[in-house]
Amino acid sequence: MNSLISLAVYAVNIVFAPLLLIGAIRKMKAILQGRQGPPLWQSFLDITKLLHKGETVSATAYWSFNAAPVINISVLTAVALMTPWLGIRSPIAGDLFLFGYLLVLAKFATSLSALDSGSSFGAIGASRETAISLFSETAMIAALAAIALHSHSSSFSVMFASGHRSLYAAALSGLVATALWMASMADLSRMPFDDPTTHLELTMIHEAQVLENSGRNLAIVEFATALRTVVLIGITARVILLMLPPLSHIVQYLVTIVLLALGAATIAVCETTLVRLRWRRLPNLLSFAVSAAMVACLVAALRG
Amino acid sequence: MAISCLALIGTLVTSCFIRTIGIAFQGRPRSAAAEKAHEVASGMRASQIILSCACVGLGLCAPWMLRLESFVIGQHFASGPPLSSAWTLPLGSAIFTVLVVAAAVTGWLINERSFDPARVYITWDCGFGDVGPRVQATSISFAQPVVRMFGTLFNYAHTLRLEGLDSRLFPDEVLSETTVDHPLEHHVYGPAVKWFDQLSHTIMEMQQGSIHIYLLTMLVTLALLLVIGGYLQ
Amino acid sequence: MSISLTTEPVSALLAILALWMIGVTQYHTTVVLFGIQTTIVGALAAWIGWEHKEPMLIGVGAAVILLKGIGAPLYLSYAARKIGCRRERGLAIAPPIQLFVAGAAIALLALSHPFRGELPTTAMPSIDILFLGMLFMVTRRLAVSQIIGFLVLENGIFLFTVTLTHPMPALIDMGVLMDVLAGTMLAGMLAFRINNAFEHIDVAQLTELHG
Repeated sequence: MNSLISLAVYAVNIVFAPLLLIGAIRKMKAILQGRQGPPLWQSFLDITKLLHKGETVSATAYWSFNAAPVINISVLTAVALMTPWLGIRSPIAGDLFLFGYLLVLAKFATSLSALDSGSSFGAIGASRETAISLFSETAMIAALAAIALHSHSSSFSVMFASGHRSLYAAALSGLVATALWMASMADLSRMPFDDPTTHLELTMIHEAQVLENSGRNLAIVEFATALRTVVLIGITARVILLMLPPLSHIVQYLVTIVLLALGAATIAVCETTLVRLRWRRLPNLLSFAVSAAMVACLVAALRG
Repeated sequence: MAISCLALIGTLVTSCFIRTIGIAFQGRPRSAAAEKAHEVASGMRASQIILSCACVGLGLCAPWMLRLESFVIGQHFASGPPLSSAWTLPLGSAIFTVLVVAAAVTGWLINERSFDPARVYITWDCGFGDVGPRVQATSISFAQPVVRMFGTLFNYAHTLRLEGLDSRLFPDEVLSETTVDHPLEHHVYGPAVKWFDQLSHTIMEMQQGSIHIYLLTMLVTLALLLVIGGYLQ
Repeated sequence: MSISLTTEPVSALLAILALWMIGVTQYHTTVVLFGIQTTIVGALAAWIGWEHKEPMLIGVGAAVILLKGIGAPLYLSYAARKIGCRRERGLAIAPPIQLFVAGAAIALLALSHPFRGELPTTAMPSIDILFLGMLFMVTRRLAVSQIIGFLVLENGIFLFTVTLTHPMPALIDMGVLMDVLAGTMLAGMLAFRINNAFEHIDVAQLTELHG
């Protein structure tokens, strides 16, 4: 597949897909709750509004506070161009460990900005986020490593080269997709790990870290979060695609769009029906993701 | 298994550094001495910056370093280690993207801020009053979620006492105390440091200026080297 | 489909179910998972009996499904309802660490490969289920959970004997099954008596021997 075409497709999708996905989640949640809900492009209007608003920065904040949204968006753009989250080959060659560590770098910048303003909510959010990322990052990297072990390479282009080759590979992809989905929901602070629409600061995990951002910073941060959501759901969809026989590029792209919409629907259903777990019980749920990922790694390592 | 350990190590390292940088540099000063602290001379800063750039450079240019080393080592030993087969990550394009986007966004933000500067105000405190030094994050408070998960290892104990007429809802006095053991520091590092200290004291007494002791040390070292050299032959 | 092609994935699925059980604290969920696992084991045994043309094995498989896969869970959840215990409390090591340990144990087992040449690869999941059942028993405090652990252990043994290349005579399987079921009934009744005597079935507190 031509690199330029891939770059064009990815560029267009990076601009439009994240906010559309967030809009789709909101719309589906509203329909499930019996309301009409905001239109699909409401997130675009929200970001535009935020861009016109003035900024308020805390007096205690240092330059790392203003640097964090910049680092976030640039790292996440690199990740989005590197991972095959659209079902077709990514324009830049991606690597599993680069993917994992770039995501951790983005989280590092966010946590530092949270601690920077000296607010205790930021500190609580940052400490809880690091505690959760102990599990969710491990699960994510281990789950993708299972596929890497199966295809004997850590480069994304080799790992996701084609569809399933055997029943065993399909089963492995299923296990990996489960682990990856749970780890992604924890990483994105979605239900049942955290309620993204809560206004109670003491229960926030991700929102507490971006509490101090306003105006343009907040616009960048919200877009970065939406981009992270779409990339993580996209990579889960790509793993699910591994269970199907090899298809042509256009069909894979369309199937990925359908799976992204399904993912949004699942998130909407989870946020409407599930209740946020108590903080003490979160590691219990996440450890399922970690064990599933470790078992997948083990099976891949043993069976080759 | 090794890969999950690798991922876990990466995450733990990141958490450790977030905590260290966070409590050292960020938020409000946590003590009077910290409030009066000021930046050191530029020489000290420059040396640290050079070292950290070297670290980052070594990490990013690892494949080339390995090739250089294998070339050097290959000259001295007949069968050099096969280091040239080390993985090379596709860092170039990723870093390029990161830098380009970061530069673009920073430039745009600086431009916007020149028209519409950010207003400086207090940190959001949810109405609880000034966010002073006592409510800043400390190292143990940052690590508390993880410590409680592994509570058995650390002898984590939490006492909570509420006193007052209607103590559940409107307590007069609240006592919430967390005690944590530090097993590694107290039981492993502590004794090791003490033993090392005693050893160095003994050696220091030996080196107190007596020429005979110096000569004796030199003789013993030479004898040992001869013996070891003889065995190695 | 040949036997080895099905037994391997199915055994792996059973091992995953056992691993899932270790992380769950609600008693009812563990009972349901155990029921599903035993039903699949029984179905596998019956199918292997069908392939090998051994009617006795089919009978054993059907008995396992009916008695151990449906009967035992029903009895145990009835017992739990009567006693009134719903979830595990006060586990010494939290479920996440349990899961880590379980995963590590399986990994070590798989890597050490004790009887490399003599056993088929389907033996590995059954030994895993055995160890996971034991881990379940060791880490839980409710008496009824210990019964479930013991039954999972027996599932592992049964799976092992059924998937051997020279399978054990079905008569022995039947005998073991009957013994295990009798043990379960007795253990359930004992749990009632313990609850009546002590108002709880927390085995960690039953450490003193009375005259």
